[in-house]
Amino acid sequence: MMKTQLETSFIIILIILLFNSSVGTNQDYKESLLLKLLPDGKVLAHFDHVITWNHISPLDMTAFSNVRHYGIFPRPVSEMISLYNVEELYLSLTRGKWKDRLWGYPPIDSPPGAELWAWFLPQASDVDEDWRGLLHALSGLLCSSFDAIDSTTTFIPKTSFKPTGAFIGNISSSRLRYTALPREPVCTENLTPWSKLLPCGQKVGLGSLYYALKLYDTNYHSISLKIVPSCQDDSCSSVGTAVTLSLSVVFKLPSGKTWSLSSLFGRHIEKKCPLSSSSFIYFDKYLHKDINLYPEPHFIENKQFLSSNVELSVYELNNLKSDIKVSLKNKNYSQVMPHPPSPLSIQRYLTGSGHGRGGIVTIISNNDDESLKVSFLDMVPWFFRILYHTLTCELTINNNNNNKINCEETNNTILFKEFSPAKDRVLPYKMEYIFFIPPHSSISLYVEFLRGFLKWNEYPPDASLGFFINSAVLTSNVYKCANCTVSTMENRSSFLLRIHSDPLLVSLPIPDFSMPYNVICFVSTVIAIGFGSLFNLTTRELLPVNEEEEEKKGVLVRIINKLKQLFLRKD
Amino acid sequence: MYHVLAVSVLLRLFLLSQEASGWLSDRIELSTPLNSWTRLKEGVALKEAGLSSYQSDLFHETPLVLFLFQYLLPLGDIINGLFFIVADILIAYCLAQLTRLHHQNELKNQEQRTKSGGIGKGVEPILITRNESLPSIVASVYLINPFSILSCSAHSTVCFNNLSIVFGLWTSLKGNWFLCGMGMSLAVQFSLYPVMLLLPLSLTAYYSGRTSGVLKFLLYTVLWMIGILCVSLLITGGSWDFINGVYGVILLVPDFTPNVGLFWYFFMEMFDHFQVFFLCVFQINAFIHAIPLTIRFNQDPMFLVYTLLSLISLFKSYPTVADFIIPVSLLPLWTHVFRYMRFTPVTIGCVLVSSIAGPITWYLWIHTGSANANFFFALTLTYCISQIFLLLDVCHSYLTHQYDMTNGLPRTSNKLGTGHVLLKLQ
Repeated sequence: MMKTQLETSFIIILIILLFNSSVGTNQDYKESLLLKLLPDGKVLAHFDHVITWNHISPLDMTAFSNVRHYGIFPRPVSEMISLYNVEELYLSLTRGKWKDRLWGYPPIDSPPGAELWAWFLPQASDVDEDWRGLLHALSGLLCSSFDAIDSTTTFIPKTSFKPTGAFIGNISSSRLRYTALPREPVCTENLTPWSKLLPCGQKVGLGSLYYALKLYDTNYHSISLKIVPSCQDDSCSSVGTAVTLSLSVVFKLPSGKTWSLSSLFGRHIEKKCPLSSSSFIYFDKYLHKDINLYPEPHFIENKQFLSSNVELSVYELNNLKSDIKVSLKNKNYSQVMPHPPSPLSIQRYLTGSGHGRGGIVTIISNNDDESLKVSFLDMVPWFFRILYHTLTCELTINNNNNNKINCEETNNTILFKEFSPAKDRVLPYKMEYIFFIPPHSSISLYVEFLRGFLKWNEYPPDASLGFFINSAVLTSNVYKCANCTVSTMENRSSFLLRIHSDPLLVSLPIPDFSMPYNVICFVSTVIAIGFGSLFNLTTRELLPVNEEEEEKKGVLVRIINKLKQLFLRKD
Repeated sequence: MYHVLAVSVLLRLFLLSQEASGWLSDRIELSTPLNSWTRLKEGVALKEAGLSSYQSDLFHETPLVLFLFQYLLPLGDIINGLFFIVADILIAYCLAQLTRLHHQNELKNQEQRTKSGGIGKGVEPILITRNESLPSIVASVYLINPFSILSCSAHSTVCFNNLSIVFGLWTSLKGNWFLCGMGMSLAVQFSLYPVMLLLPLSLTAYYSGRTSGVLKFLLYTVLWMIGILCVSLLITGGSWDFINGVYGVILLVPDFTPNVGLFWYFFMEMFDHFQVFFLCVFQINAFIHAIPLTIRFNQDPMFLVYTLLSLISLFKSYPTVADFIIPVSLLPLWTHVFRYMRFTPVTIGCVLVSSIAGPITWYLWIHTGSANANFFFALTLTYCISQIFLLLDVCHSYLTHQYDMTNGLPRTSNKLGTGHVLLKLQ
């Protein structure tokens, strides 16, 4: 009996293995790690894990439902996208702030907290229902609080987002949903389920460097998940699926002149993930020229990135026998050339004091030598009552403060403008612009808001902390980008630059949470005084006091009456 | 009279020149979500931008006001400020006119009663005396009132509500039911609660023209209401959004922006499952008093108007101090009952304390963060209590006065001769 059971299970395993190999021809897994020394000496490590599946794409609604064997493709992901008719999905969970001015642009720009957007298939009958389902699935998949998102935090941007992969049907924003959770705390509980989607997990390959203790003791940390229907050739005749799992982390300044991979991550790579077809470690010395690497890189690769050429030292994980050691000849970072100014930057801050009327100032600067067309998306929760009539837009030309003009007065600064007002407890505010910004100019948007008053149970437990206003999103297509981080996975001629402003933390006036009963009692008392007295007035008649009747009453009553007479005014 | 008018206009002009509307219009004592100048500007701006003003939950004005200010706002701050000043002067004028007519009627009634022997002996000290300056006193009380000056400078649109109410009252005393219907229907469409005033005005109509008078008045009112509704629909382009945007907000109180009333903190702190129940209780409470009061004061519709206006100011969902000014301004009509008032120091004290400490506690809560909401809430309660005291005191004095007028003075009903009269069950 036992023996037959063993035999059957053995056969089953064999069949699965056979199938796996046949599926495997359609599937591919690549991983890479880019290490980059930042101008201030910090180290950026950016991991990319790309799982592709040929011929099976989310565009075909039935593709995933017919699949029985997933191979290396993460099954929860495929089930999720086929169940909720997702065409394209992007998600990021970030902790810390990326310093654009100091570090250049990140490989993937993400706002602090969580950000998520998804395109749904044109066939999806009820996008909102799918979106709700997707949010629940994702919060389960990544241990995040996406399930707290409702219509008040969901946005439908018109101009800022476009599908990045293959797509079918018209690009209509009604199929797009965007949300962000600026106060989402990101930690190991998100990293662990996320890394389980990797074919080799945290066991071998680059994933073995994911040691939470070190990863979260850093200045910046971001994990992301991207699912796109990807074209397999230039003509896009066949469409597959690409799932990209990326992790970016900025390590604090390593102490000493020499540091190594294992000293950064607290782990070392045992061996290559056997399921991966390619596994490289790239090293971008960038502005630090006097750096020694040990062992010597396996080869030097020249990456064409936009108009610039980036020289990368490459290690192949297969042939890497020892830990990579980095030694700097000179640890004086002040001599390191700073990044060239970012072509596009966004700054945002609050004005006003106390809990009265407040204002939001957003400054979008184009520091480039060429004009830029940028999409601007601003999202504000309904309880910050944005006053549209206070919205002003000023264009400062040549960064000369004396040269300010109203955007509306110039011909072609505002190419598109849309403001959608909020509905209490239903819809948030949304503001979208497309600006055409002349070179070395900036646009400053100013809008005032009134603070709303919420019901006691609409405040979060830490109400005094305040409420976040989502990061504004700025999107532009750039053709040269001096301070972008090179992408190791793809060559690009144009680059969709998306940057986020800081989220704003705004405090709201709060009621006293401890006294609902008292308030109910006090107000009811006042109402009762009014009601009772009016009831008396209207139901009773003025009659003279009959003193003889009074005397018939008991001794106590008489004493009380005498006392009353003492205190009552005699007139 | 003219120097009071001059002083009050100068004060308003001074505040206008200081661009007071900017910092006063966000004062929650002066303007509520329903009538704030800031929100009105927002609604107009949205309309200009091609959006529906009612799409935003910021805007709760009626379409008529929206339409009016679509043309007034571009004329600049000064014209708008002057417009509000003119509206205030019109209110004062209507008040003066209605006082004049009411005073004449009162004297006439008293004369008739004296002739027919309907009054007691020795009531000469409490008789109504002819007072030629009474209209100007009433107008002055309104014009020089700090509440009305501030409310006018804050550009709170509550003044249109007040104007239509006093206009309706004045024309009702004149017997012009067509214009009275207009005033009343305007008042109802501005803030809904003045619908209670249809009761006293129907009584006035009944006394002047019996049933046909009442029918005439109600018919005109209904016709005007339909007319206003049609105009509103024309303005909004056939969209019914404003019903929910204006009257839905008045009745359902979704906006907890603090004000001087009883609703905001109560519903901010209310448990979800009692919300609907208490909302019903509070709104019924606001309206229900009209019936017993009408039965009680059916002989004197103007006094009934006073009680109802006081109740509206007290129990409406989004009151401002400007709602309180109209009943206070009407008070001099009953100077002959003032001698019976018992809580005057308490009432005046309460009003003073709440109007001085209210803004202070608001500042401490909102701007410096050193006090919490309860302090401000306590002072709004004080303000409400003072209104209740005033209303009850005036009602009680009025009834005592009536009692004395009928039974004569001095009171001989008891041995002590103190002459206490008490409210007793009939």
